[in-house]
Formats: sequence, structure tokens, C-alpha cells
Amino acid sequence: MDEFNDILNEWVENRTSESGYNIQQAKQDDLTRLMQLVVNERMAPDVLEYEEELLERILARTRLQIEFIEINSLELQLEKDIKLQLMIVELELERVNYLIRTYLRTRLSKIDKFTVYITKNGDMVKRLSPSEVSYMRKHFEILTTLYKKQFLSRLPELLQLLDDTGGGISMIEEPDLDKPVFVKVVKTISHSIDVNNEEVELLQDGIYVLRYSAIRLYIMIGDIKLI
Amino acid sequence: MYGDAADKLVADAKRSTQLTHLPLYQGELIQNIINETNDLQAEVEHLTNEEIVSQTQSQGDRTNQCQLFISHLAMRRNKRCLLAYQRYRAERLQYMSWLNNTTGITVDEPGAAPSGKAADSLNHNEEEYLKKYNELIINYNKEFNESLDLTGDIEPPKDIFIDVRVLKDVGEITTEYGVFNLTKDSQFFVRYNDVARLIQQGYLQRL
Amino acid sequence: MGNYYDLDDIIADNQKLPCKFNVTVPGLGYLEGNIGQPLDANTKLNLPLWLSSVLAICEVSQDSQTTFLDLIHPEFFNNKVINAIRANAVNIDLHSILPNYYKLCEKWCVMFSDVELIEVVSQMLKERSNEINDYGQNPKQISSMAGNKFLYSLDEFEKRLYKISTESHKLSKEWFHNQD
Repeated sequence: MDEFNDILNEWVENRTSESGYNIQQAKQDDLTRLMQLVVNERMAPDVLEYEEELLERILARTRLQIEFIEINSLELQLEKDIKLQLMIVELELERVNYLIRTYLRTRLSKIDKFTVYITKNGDMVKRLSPSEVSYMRKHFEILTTLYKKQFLSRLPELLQLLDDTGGGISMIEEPDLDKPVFVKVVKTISHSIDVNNEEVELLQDGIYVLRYSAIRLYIMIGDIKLI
Repeated sequence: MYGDAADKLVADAKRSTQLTHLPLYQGELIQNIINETNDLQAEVEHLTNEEIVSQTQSQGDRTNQCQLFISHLAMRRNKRCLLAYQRYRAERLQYMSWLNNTTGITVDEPGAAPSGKAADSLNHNEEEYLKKYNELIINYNKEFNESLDLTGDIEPPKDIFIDVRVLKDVGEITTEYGVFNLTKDSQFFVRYNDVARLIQQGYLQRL
Repeated sequence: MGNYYDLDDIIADNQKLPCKFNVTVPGLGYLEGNIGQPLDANTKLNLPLWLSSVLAICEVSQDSQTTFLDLIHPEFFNNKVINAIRANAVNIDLHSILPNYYKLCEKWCVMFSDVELIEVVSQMLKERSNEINDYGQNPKQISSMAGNKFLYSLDEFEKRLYKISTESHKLSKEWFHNQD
């Protein structure tokens, strides 16, 4: 494993032009952050803020990796060293792509589930990337077309709404913010929090199961993380 | 009893959560539910007119409206069941799209020929939805790097490179890692993506 | 909440429960097979939850406390069952009492805040979950006589728990194995 990291480091150093800045560390930090984002997105009941900058940086780096692979694989008889480098770069690329893929698709599936709710909430729309907003709108359009063609247009007019809240049950599906989540405390929380009339102290490195709503804000600022 | 047909429809959807293929679209059952709902609507209108005419209602007494109320509840129940059924099927279609299945024909094993029976399980509106959804995700995918294919199984990458044995002669294949002469009984260490099809088709065996 | 399109929720709402009408309602005779006739007060009927739950909280007029019907305390939560649960929660054949036991309890408690029921059922869930987890860790045991009996006694929610339990124990074992 160390050998792999050495080779990766070597390759990265050959490609960076920024001097005096620890590129390798920054890259690792970004990946660690991306992994945490993936966990957060999978565990949180609602759609979180889209981390545009981070994604852009990582995507830019993966583009470089793709270029490297393309340039170096044009030769058919490869030297052994280059071959190994290629393999390692590809492996890393697959792993990063996996993280990005999981992040984006988890978001899309939540967006699909809560489309009507999100559309009615300006705050929530802001958390989506422009591509996601476009996806959401377009998908909703083709889905409602399906409903209309299959049966909805043949039902009485008063039943044709898709955001009806009358009749005892709301059609608008909302994320369950009270859902319990597993968390780990990064930084001890100064005051204890109230859970069901019980006071709970949240100490550093402690692992707890709590209602998402109780600690949502701490997750946003990073004092607590989802696991 | 109102809602019986709707219950059958939802039961069908529930059953299909356990099936690998999507069963036949229940067109007839759905038409029955639509008819029942429209009948209820007619009843509601009739009762409402009666109310206005007879004016037997004292302020706030809801007893005479109870029948009306129940008809409304039954209508909403039917609507809910119809939507849940269709939404579930739409979700299955989305799932298929993400797995690159654009024909809507479900198969038991990847690469196998589709069996005749599964071919008719979607009605034509659903087929159209599948097509449009597939276009939608292709467009969404375009916003990112070429190498980033958002489709496929969301499983962590395990074996990018694998060992294979050649079962039947394939001839030469060209990959980024070189030219491989795939003759029977030879073994190679190759990139999975390069040979996935050949494995599916039975030319190579993964070790 | 995310319930409208949920298939399990819709199916649970289909559960028929015994009700008693508190007033005579014109036109509802069809509910007991008398089309065109009124439904008399004190008639007892089994109605699906999606209908009865609304009528059970809707008052007959603005100044009355009387609702259109009352949900009669159903058999699955009666004293006999509660006592049996208290005596030995793990041995109860929950599935034959009601396949969707917990779901129905949930809906009932949301409507009526039956604190005693909530306590008893929560305790039962804890005890049975422990048992389910044991079997999840040792799946071979489920084919024994006792194991089989227990498996068939699980309600739908517990069955899902069992499935998750066996899966996750299996995955943990595999992961540990792969660390060698």
C-alpha cells in the first residue's frame, strides 16, 4: 500500500505547478471531505447543501487523471513502470468516481422522493445544483405526464392535484427530520441538549443515536458528524 | 364495497416488490377503478344537488352529509391507490434505466436473451416514460467528466483488474495495456471493463 | 411524512376494524347490504381503517362531542392478548393475531394515545428483537423446531428485521474474514 502511495505522490508532483502549497495534503483533505459528504448524504433524511466548489476541484483533478491515462495508453507496448502507474491511476480514478457517483445518485433519489416538498420550499431548492434543479423539473414533468395519460386525466377534476393536503392525508412527502441517526461528536458541545425532556451531554469522540432534528445544526457546522 | 378494486391493485404492486420482473400492467383493473371513481363523483353531484334543493340541513348538522363525505373518502382512496401503483412501477423503470436497461424487458441474467413473456409487461405510456427518463439521465450525465458514468450498480469498485482464462478462441484484443492474443486455455491479467462482455458471452472465465 | 405513496401504509389502512355507529345515517345502508336504506344507530360493522379512522374523529355536528362512529377496542389489543404479551412476549404468535401488528398498533396509538398499549408493545418489541438478533447471528438455529415456530410467529415488520439481521451479521462475518 505504501508503495502505491509513493507512486501516486510521484505522479502528482510531476503534474503540479503550484509551488509552496502542499498539493498532496489538499487532495487528501478533499477526498476525506468527499467521503464524509457521501456518508452525510446517505444518512441524512433531507437533501443537504450541494458542495459545488469541492466537486469542481475533484472533477478537475479527475480530468487530469483521464488525460494522463489517454496520453500514456496510446503506445501499445508499454514499459513496465508506466504500466504500473497507469494501473494505479486507474484504480484511484475508479474509487473517486465511485464516491462521486454515490454522492450524486443518493441526492437524486432523495430529490425524486421529495420533489413536491422541495419545489414549495425556496430554501430547499437553494441546496440543489443547477443540474439537479433541471433534472427535478424535467423528471416531474415526465412523471406527471405518465400519471395523466394513464388515469389522472380521466378522474374527476377535483382529484387531479398532486399536492393536495385535504382528506386526512397529505400528498406532499416530507423528509422525516426526526429520524434517528448515528453520530460521532467531533468537538464537545458546550451545553447539553434536550431530547424528550432528557438532558444529554455530547462529549468529544462519543458515539450516539439521536434524532436528526436535535443535532442538525451541529452537523452543518461540523461539530458532529454522521456515521 | 368501494375501494375493493383499488386494494387489488395495491396488492399487485406489493407482490411485484418480490419479483425480478415487472408484471403485466393492470389496464382492466385500473379502468374499473376509474369507472367506480367517476360513478362516485356522479353520486356526489347528485347528493349535493339534493341538499341544495331540500334544504333539510340545520346549521352544523353533518349527519345528512355523511354519505357525501364517505363518497369523497372513497374517491380519494381510489386516487391514492392508483398513484401508488403507478409510482411504484415508475420507480422500477427508473431503476432499470440506471442499470442501462432501456428496453424495459427484464431478464434473469445479464446478457441473456429476453424471454417473450416479459416483453409485454409495460403499457405504451410506460415505455415512453422509460425512454424519456433514459434521455434525462443521459443528459444529466453529460454535465460531468466523460469517465464518470453515473449509471450502473452502486457497488464499491472491487476488482478493476482480474485474472481470466480463455475458454474459446477470441483472437487479438487491443486494450490500453497492450494487445492480448486470447487463445484457448491461456490466462491473462486484464482490466475488467475491457473483457466484461466476453465473460458474459462465455468466451472467458473469471478466475 | 413520507406516507402517501407507501404501499405498506396503504395496505395497513385497509385493515378492517369493528365499529359502532352512534347516529342513524341516511343512505349508508349499502354498507351492510341494504342499498338505499339508512344505517341505524348502534349498528356494528367492520370497516376499513381509511374510512373508520376519519369517521371516528368527526363530530356529527358542530356543537356535539359525539362522533359518527366509535372504534370498538379490537381483539388484537384486548386484555387477553395484553396479558399474554406481558407473560411471555417471545412466545406469542403475533402473525396469527395480526400480520401487520406493529403497524396497526402505531396507527391506533396515533389516534387514541393509548399509553398502556404503547408501553406493552414497546417492551414486546425489545424482547422479540433480542430473540430475532440471536437467530440472525446463528441462522442455523432457525431450522430447529423452536426456531421454526418463532419464525412463523413473526409479524411483517419483524420479518423485515430478521432479514436485515441475518444479512448484516453475514456481512460482518465476511468483512472480518477478509481482514485476515
